[in-house]
Amino acid sequence: MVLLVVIIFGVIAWLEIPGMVQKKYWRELIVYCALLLPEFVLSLLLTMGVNFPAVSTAIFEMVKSIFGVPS
Amino acid sequence: VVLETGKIDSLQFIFLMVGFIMGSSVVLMPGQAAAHDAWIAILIGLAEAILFVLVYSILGSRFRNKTLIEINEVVYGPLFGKLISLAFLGYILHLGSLVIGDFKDFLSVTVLPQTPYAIIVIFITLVCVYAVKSGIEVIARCGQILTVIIVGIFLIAVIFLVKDINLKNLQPILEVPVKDLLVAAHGTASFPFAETVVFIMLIPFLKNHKNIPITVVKSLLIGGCILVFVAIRNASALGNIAGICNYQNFQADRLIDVGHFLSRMEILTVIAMVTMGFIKITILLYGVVLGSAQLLGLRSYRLLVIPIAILMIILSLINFKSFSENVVFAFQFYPIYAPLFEFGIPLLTLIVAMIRGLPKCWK
Repeated sequence: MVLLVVIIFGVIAWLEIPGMVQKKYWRELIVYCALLLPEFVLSLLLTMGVNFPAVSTAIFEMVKSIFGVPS
Repeated sequence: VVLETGKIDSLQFIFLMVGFIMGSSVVLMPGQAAAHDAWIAILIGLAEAILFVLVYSILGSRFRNKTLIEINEVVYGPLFGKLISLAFLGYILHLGSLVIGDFKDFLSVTVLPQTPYAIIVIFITLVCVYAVKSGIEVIARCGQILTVIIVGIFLIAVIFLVKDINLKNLQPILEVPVKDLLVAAHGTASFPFAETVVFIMLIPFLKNHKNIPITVVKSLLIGGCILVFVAIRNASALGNIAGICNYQNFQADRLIDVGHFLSRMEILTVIAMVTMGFIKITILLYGVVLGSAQLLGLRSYRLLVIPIAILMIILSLINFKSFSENVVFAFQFYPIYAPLFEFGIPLLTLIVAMIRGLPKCWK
């Protein structure tokens, strides 16, 4: 599975990055890499079975602890 | 920089909005907390939602060629405007991940129990990525064709289910306490009706800018009427179990049995639901991608489609630990949290724009 994630992200980068470099879209390239790299790391961690906190539940619990329980 | 050159007409806009409203609400029926009175909750919620949609449609018609991201920059200035836009885009991104998560849960419970979650969400999102990369005109044409087909499938399902429909199951009417009914009604206003706020990102691409609020309200009413109709069908066909079914439409269509040879029609419903989901996820993805490109001053929004779609996929996988957490979030928290973005941000922007007399050319 880890290999599959590496291949998928590799193919995505291989398909899109050369076009941006050719057109000299540097700003776009920075944004693209700033998004894709953390996503790559997150996806790798997910496939390796690392347990992430449930995002929406965490937001809910945080709001609940500040404002109380909505009824 | 003009990021989108495509244009859509009012009819396509209406079809898209109807498809969007049906989107995940055909999977998780709104107003379920009101049991067999769900249709009344939807009607009340529809009335509340008209107020919500009027705010963003009036805002959209004041700033005709601008999306909310551009409007925020004009109204609040570059820095504060960007912050508000970031919050709005965060909400749409989160909503997109919730919708993908709904379909992931639905498909894994009903038809694909052995398939890993990741595979389901990747394949759902892949089609949406292709549509968003193709641009607004392609999305609009998809909406036009698919919404008609899907509404047709739902009508056929109703015809086949006629023998199981017992309108007495709707009685006693207004059995649910008024407070619970109003809570359920507010829930239906925030999900799915007011979620159409994402259409403020599409309003600038309308060919005809006259009567935008009327077009929006018309779409809302059509979508709302279909949902009321579906809620009545489900409650009258399922009877007492309607209130406890997670997937009412699916459960109702399992009852179809015409002459013992035309049965197991629920797979048609599943196809219809996933198609509606495609429309909803596509519009949400388009909204986030276009908005992010405008926020960051990029020259093309298409380059952001894949990274943002992957972000939605990852979020949909880690939003909740279980389906019950999803249900608690949807019923207790979402009706409070969502209106801040669906109603709060557009209302604040509209008030500030009116006070500042913006835009200057508006009459």
